[in-house]
Amino acid sequence: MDDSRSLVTLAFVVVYLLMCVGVGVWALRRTKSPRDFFMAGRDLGVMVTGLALFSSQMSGFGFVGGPGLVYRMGLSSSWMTVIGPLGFCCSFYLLATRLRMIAELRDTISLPDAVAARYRSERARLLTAVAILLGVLGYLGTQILAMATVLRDVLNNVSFIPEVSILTCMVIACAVLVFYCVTGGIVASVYTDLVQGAIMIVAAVFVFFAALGAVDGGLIGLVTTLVEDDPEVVSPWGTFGMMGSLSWFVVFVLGSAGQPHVITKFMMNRRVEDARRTLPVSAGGYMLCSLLWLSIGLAMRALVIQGGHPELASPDEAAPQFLQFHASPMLAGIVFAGLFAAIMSTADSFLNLGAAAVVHDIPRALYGRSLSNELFWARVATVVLAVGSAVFVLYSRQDLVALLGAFGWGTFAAALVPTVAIGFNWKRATATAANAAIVTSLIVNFGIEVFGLAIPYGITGGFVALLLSTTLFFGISLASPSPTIDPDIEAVMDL
Amino acid sequence: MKLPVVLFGLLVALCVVTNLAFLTEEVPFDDLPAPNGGLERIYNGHGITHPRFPSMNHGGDGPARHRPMLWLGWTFGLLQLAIIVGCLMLGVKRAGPVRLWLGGSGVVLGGLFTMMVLTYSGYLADETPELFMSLPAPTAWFLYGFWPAEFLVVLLYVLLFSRSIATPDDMERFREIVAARRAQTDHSPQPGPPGSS
Repeated sequence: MDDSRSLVTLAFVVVYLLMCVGVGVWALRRTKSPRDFFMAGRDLGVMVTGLALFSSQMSGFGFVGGPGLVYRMGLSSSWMTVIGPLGFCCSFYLLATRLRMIAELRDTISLPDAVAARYRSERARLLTAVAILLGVLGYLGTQILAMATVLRDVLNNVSFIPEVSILTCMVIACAVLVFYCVTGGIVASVYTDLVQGAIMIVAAVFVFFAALGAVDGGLIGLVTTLVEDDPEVVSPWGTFGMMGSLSWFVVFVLGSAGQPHVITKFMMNRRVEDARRTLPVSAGGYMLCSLLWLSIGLAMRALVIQGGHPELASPDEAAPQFLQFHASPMLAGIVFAGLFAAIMSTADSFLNLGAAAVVHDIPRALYGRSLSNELFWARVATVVLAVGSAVFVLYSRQDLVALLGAFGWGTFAAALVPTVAIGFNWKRATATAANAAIVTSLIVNFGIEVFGLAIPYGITGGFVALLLSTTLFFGISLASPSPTIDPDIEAVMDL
Repeated sequence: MKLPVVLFGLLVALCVVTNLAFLTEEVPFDDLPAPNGGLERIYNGHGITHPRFPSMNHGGDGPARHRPMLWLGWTFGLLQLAIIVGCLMLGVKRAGPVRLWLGGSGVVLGGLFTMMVLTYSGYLADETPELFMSLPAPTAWFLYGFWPAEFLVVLLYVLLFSRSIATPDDMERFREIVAARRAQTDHSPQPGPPGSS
């Protein structure tokens, strides 16, 4: 990268990081209680919630891993992203009003709180908290590593900055993340998400047009090049094939309603009725960001085949290499800031969820009460989780990190779709069924990853886990007598 | 029949279809010498390394891998869509316009998915596939049809929210429930943990 380009990128990233610190300082004054720290005082407006929802769902994976997948296997991974609006619909239809009402009714400050209230079960609270904590540890580690890797690339491209190690970059990235999460809790997290979401949309739209312009012949030239090389690449199933691609369909649509970092934000809306205007913001924002996911991967594949770019060492280099060689310096700066935004918006949500599980949910499930001075301990837990995840990702075996990272989405989907998304809309659902679904999801997901089981047609392990846990959940509930539900919860479920 | 029972039936049907897929041997495959002697069967149906660019995958022989199970794949996708639409309906408490319109949207999405599969079948046979608005026909159905059609479901939520999802009466009733709960917890000596009311 030439120096002026590198300096523009660095300037955008520095301004972005300073903005995060500024939001942290501002949010400190608005965070006075655990309810503020975990639930933003249930005072978030439509735009804030809408953009925070989609930016935390998109994550760094959408900006780096997504284009990499498209480069490697064509349109297969569009079954993770093109179906995004339908995924948001599942979350909103099933949970937006229901979770928000239960949050106000019971003054809950976490998802396991709501689960305990729904099922009258501390075991369900504990299992939900454990599933969330396991998923959080994996996700958080991979997000922190991704942040440090991107920062190192940005810094090492500036000629007057001496070589910077991954450890230094991890310290810088963690320091900014921890600062605004500790000072402002979820308030800082969602307001940075607002800015992050806006940056991601702008970046995605500009990149889409830049990608089409980079290939000889525009969109038609791109598609013709790819079809001549391998017609399967631009078919709806890509190179991965029909069954494998379709197994992502239900996992990423229905599974959206089981992602705790997304659905917990429903509990933070100012008014129940705000859900109506929030859905188009989230679904529309996600659709626009999907343009980046698809266009960079296809453009880089076509460029390599046409001879306009050397072959990539790894598919994950598709986005960084495109920005380095085929985008204007200004656009590269915006996208690198957008990339940071995508990673941090997910990491901050996970930090908050993890802290809630450690200081609030698990102690309540085990000892019947949460820690005294919860706000102080929540801040301590945030630091410990961030540092712990960074140390874990630096010093553990990389396959273990990858395993936990892959474990995240599928586990959340298989454990929480039946327990929360279905269970909060169906009064016959029992606590036993919920507990069985969570345990099944943990065993199946871990079993498939640990034993490296190869499923025919490349069908994803998350699909198998979700199918088994949900079928089991319905089966056990239908075979059991109707459970007793607290009258106020039952009244809300009847609305 | 009640919706949860229908959903359970659809889930069981999806389990059956998935098991049928597991029982049908994946094609094409190669029998290669295994490190410990004998032959090892390598399945190529979900992508092989690109012959010129190792960082990419290649789809291989599309007709060979998809023809034998195209309609099983169609059933697999359609059942998933039916489960998704059923779950959306579960989120709408009262029977009425939203459930009907959701069913209609499901039919539209199912139709578009079917067109993807039908045109893909032709695409497999075509040596030089024609493009529609710069995309092959099945992909055009997916990206120009299925993708925007998802916003039908978004539109329904926005348009029918205060008529069918959270009506003014619901909100009034909700405020009463919250007030009753607060009065109850205010009068109890120690607020009980969730689940104790």
